[in-house]
Amino acid sequence: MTLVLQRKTVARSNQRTQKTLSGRQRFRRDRFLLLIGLPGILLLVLFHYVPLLGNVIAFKDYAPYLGITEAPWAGLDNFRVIVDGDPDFVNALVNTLVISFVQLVLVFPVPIALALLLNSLLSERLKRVAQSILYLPHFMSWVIVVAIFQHMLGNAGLYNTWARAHDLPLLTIIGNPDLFIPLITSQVIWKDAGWSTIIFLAAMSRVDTQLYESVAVDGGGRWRQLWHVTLPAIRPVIVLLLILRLGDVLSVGFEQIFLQQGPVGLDASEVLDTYVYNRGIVGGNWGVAAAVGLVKGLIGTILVLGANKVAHLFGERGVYSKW
Amino acid sequence: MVNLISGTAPPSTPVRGLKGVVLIVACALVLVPFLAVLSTSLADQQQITSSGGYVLFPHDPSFAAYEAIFRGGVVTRATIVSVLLTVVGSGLSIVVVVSIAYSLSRPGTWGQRPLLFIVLFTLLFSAGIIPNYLLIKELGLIDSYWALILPGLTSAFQIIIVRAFFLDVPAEIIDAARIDGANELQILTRVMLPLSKAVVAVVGLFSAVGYWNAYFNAILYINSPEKWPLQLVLRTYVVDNTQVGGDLPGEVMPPQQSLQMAILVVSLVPICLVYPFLQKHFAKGVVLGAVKG
Amino acid sequence: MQSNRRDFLKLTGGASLLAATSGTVLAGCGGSDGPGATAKAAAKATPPEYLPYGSVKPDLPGTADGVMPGFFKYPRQLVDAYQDKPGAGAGEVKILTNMFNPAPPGAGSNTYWKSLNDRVGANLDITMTPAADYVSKLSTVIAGGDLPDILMIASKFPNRGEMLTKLCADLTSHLSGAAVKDYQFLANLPTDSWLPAMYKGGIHAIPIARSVIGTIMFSRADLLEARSLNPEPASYAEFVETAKGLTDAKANKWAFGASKGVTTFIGNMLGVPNVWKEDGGKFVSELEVPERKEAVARTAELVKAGVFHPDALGGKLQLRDLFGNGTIALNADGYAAWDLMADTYGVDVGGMPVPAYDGGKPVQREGAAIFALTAFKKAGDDRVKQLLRICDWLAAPLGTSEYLFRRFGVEGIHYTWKGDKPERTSAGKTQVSLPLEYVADAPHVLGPSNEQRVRTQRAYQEKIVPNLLANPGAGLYSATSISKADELDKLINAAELDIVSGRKPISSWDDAVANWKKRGGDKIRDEYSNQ
Repeated sequence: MTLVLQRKTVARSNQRTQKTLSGRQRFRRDRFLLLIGLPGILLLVLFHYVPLLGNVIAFKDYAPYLGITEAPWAGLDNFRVIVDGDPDFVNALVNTLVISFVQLVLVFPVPIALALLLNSLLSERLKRVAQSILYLPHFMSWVIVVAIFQHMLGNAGLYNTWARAHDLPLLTIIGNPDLFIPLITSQVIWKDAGWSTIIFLAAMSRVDTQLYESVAVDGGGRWRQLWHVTLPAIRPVIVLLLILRLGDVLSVGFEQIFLQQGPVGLDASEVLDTYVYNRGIVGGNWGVAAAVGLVKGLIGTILVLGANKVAHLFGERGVYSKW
Repeated sequence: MVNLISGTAPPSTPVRGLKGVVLIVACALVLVPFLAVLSTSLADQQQITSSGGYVLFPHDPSFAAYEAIFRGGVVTRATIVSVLLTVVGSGLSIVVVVSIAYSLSRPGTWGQRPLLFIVLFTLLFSAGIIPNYLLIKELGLIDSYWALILPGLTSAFQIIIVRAFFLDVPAEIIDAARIDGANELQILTRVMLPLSKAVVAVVGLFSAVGYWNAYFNAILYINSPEKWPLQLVLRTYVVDNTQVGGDLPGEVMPPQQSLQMAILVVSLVPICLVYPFLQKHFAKGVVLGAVKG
Repeated sequence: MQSNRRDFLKLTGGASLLAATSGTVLAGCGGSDGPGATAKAAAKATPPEYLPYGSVKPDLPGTADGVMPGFFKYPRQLVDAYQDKPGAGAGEVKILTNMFNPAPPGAGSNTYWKSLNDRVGANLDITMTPAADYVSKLSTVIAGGDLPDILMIASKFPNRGEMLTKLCADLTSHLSGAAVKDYQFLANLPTDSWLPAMYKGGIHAIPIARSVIGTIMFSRADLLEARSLNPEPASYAEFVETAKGLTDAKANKWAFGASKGVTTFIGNMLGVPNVWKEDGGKFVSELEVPERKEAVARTAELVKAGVFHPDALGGKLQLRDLFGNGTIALNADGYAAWDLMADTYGVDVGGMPVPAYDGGKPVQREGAAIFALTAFKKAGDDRVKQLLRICDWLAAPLGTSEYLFRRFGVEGIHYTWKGDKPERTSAGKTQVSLPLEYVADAPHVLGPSNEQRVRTQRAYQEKIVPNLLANPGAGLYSATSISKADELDKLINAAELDIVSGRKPISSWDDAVANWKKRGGDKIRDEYSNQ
C-alpha cells in the first residue's frame, strides 16, 4: 500500500515541476540522463527504423531482382488482399479474433496464477526446482511440440493405438475441427505458461517484506496478503503486458497453426497470418506481405493507444504516462 | 533464506494439499514428454518402431545419435560460436536496454513521450527480411558476427519492462542519492540496478535465449560455415523430414527420430545451465525499507 | 492494375520492354510478375546438342525413352576426363547453393574442400543454405545486388525468367547448339532439362537434371509377400484388395500414410493428364477432367474404408520412417528414395507399376526434368568460360575419377575400397558432404548397388516407361505459373483434403476448381495456349 501511495506522490510532484519549467530548462536539467540513453536510441533507430523505410514496397510492385527504388508503383493494389471482402478472408479474420480472445482470457492469466502459486511456496528449494522444470517447454520448437501432442493424442497416438487394439472407444482430438481451438490453446499453455511466470516472479521479488508483515500484524491471513500486497505489486506489470498483448491481437501463433492446418482443414484453422502466407507470400509477393504488416501495425497501434487510455482511466500507469 | 511471509501461520492442510497436487501435475505434464525426448535420443530404431515414435525407457541405450552429431567437430565449433554470441550479445543487450530504460524512467523529463513512442512503435511495425539485409550489407557487416549481435540489442519489449521496474523505485531514494552528490550514472549503478536485479536477470535471460535460439539471421547474413551458430548447424540435421541421412548406399544413419531428439537435447542443455545462476535474483525479496534506511 | 502496368512501361521508357513482352501479360491482371518472358521467344534459341558421354559403359545401358542406365558396382577402371585443372586462373569463385545434408566443416578445417580447390584449380568459396530456407537467402542476395559467381535458382523461384535475363550471364554463345561441345559433360545432359533454362531467345542457366521416372509407388515387397498379396495389381479393384490386405488396424499396420500420392496413383490409372493436356493448341488442366475428380472420390472411399494411417490426412508423418518400420506398406516418393529406403532400413523395396483402372491404358506421370537451375553472374566471356568449365567438371558422370572424387574424396583419407564398394572413413563422412551436386551434376543412373536390386529397378522402369506422359506445359514459360504455382497448389490441396477426410462432399470439388481458375488457373492456361 505504501508503494501505491508513493507512486501517486511522485506523479503529483512531477506534474508540478512540469508546469514551472520551460522545455529548454527541462532539457538542460535532463541532458545527462538523455545522454545515457542516446547511444541505445541511435542503435534502435538504425536497426529498426532504417529498415522500416523498406515498407514502401507495400505500395509497389516489388520483386527482389528489381531493387526497391526501381520497382514500379502499384498504388493500393497490395492492400486488395485485405479489402476484397473475400469470404475466405472474413473466415480467417473471425478465426483470428476468436482465437485471440480465447487466448487472452484463458492463456494470459495462467502464468500469473502459476507465479502466485510458486511465490507462495514455503520451501525455497521446491520453488526453484518447480520453476526450472516448468520453464523447459519454452525451448521446444513448435514442430516438436506439435509432434509430441500428436504422439500422445493423435488418432494413432498412444491412447488411440492402445484403445484400437483393445476395441475401446477412440478419442478424435487431433483432426477434429471442433476441438481445434482448445487444442492449440492448451499447447500454448503447456509451452509458455512456465516461462511467462518469470516476469511476474521478478515483480513479486520486489515486494517489501514489511508490507506482508504489516498485513499479518493487522490480523490478515494469506489471502489478504495476496490480495492487498502481492497482487497490487504486480498489477502495473500485468496491465503493461496486457496492453502490449493487445497490440498483437491479430497475430496468433503462425508457425503453430500453420503446422496443424492439414488435419482440420482451413475452415476451422485459417487465421490472418496463414491466409496472407497462403495467398501472397508463397508466391514471392513481398508487397502484399509489407501491406498486411502495415495494416496490422496500424490496428495494433490503435489498440495499444486505446488500451493505454483505458488503463489511465482506471488509474493505472500503462505503457506510457500522461505527462 | 527466510520465507517471505514470515509472521504468518502456515497454510491449512487442504490448501497445501491442493497446491501440491497442482504443482505435481504441472511438473509431470512437462517432465514426461521431456523424459520421452531424452529416452528417444538414446533408443535404437527397433524400439522406436515398436513404440511408434517415442520411447519412455530405452532398452539398450546408445549414444549413436550424439556421436553422429558431434562427429567431425562441426557441432563443437558451432557451440563455441553460439556461447560467445550469447554471452557478448546478452551482456551488451543488458547495457543498452538498461541505459535506454533508465533515461526514460524519470517522470517528467524532456522528450520522454516521443522517445517512448519511438521505442514502442518498433514493437508494432517491423521490416521485412530484405530491407534488413540491405542495411547489414550497407554497414559492411555481411559474414560478421556483429550482424548477429547488433540488431538484437534494442528490444522494445525489454526496454518497456525494465522502465516499468525503474519507475517503481521510490523518488525519495533517488533524491537522497542526489543530495549525497551522486550523478545520473552513479544513481543508475548504485541505486537503480541493485534495486532491480530481478528484472536485469529477466532481461539477461530473455536476450540470452534470443541469441541462443537465433538461426535465421545467420542464414541471411553469414556465408562462411565456420561462423555458423549452433542452431543453424543443427537445423541442417533436420531440415527436411523427407531427407533421411546420407545419400550413399550402405551408409546407415541413426534413426531420424533419435537424431532429432538428440539435437533437441544438445540445443537445450547449455541454455538450461544459465538458468540457476539467474534464478537466485528472482528469489530474493528486495527490502526497500532497508535501503530507505 | 492494367493502367498501372502501362504507366510503369511509360515510366521506364518501356518501348523496348513492350516489344519483348508477349501481349498476354499486359492483358492479364494481378500478380506481381513483371513483364514476362515467353517460350515463344525461347523457341528462337537452339538448345544445346545432346551428346551422351560414351567413355563409361554401364552394365545395363539406358534407353532413348527414359530407362536409366544401371550399374552393378562402382567401375574400378576410371576415366580421367580432365587432364588439366578446369578452373585454372579463375582465382576466387563464390558459389551459392542449397544443402540437404548436415553441415560439413568449413574450408579451413576440411581436407576434402582443400583438395577440391586443388583439383579445380580455383578457390571455391561455397555458401550453403539449408534447403528449407534457400528461397529467403536467394531473395535477399538478389535484392542486395551483389551476386555470387555461381548461384542455384530454385525451380519455383518467383520471377525466375526476369531475374535470369536481367541479372545473370547470357550463355547462348557458349552453349547453344553445337557450341556445347566444348563442355562434354554439359552436353551429356538431356535436352528436356535445358528447356527450363531458356528465356527470351537465350540460354541463361544450366540445369540440374532429374530423370523422367518421377514418383514411384513404393511397396514393402517383403510385407506383401508375407501376406501373399499381389505386388502388381492389374486393376483398381485388385489395388484396393492389396491395400485392404495390408491393413491391420489392431496391430497399427496400414496401407498408406498420405493421401496425395494415392490420389495421383488412382488418377494415373484413370489416365488423368500430367498437370496439363494440350488439345490442338488449347491447354486443359488436369483439374478440369472428370477423371481427376473421380480419383479424389475414390481416395475418399479408401479413407473411409480405413486403409490409411489414422493421422495420414494432412499430417506431418515421417513417411519414410513409417515405411521402413512397416507401419505403412505403400508410399509414393521420388525415384531416388528407392536405394535410400532399402539401405537405410534394410528392407525389401519394390515399385508398384500403375495398372489400368478397369481395362484401358494407364499413364505414368513424367517427373520434372530439373531439380533447379544454376546461373552465373554477368562477366566477361573468359570468366564465364572458366565458370562453365568448373560446372562441366562437376557434372562428370560415374566412372570418371572426377565423379569418384566428388562423391567420396581421396582414397585412403576419405574412403577405402571394401570389395566393390567405396566406403567412407570417419573423415569422409563429415567432410565429403559439400552440396556440389546442387551446383552441377551428371544425369542420375541406377545403382551402383547389388545386381538384383538394380535389375528389379530396371524391370520396373521398363514396365512403366511406355506409359510415360509428359506435362506439355513443362517446357513452356508462364510467369503466372511460376509465381502462383504454390498458392494454387495449396488451394487445391486444401479442397482435396476437405473431401478426402469426409469434411466436405465431392461436389465441393467443382467450387474449388472454379476458384482455382479465377485465382490464376485461367491465366496460366492463356499464357501456355498463346505460345
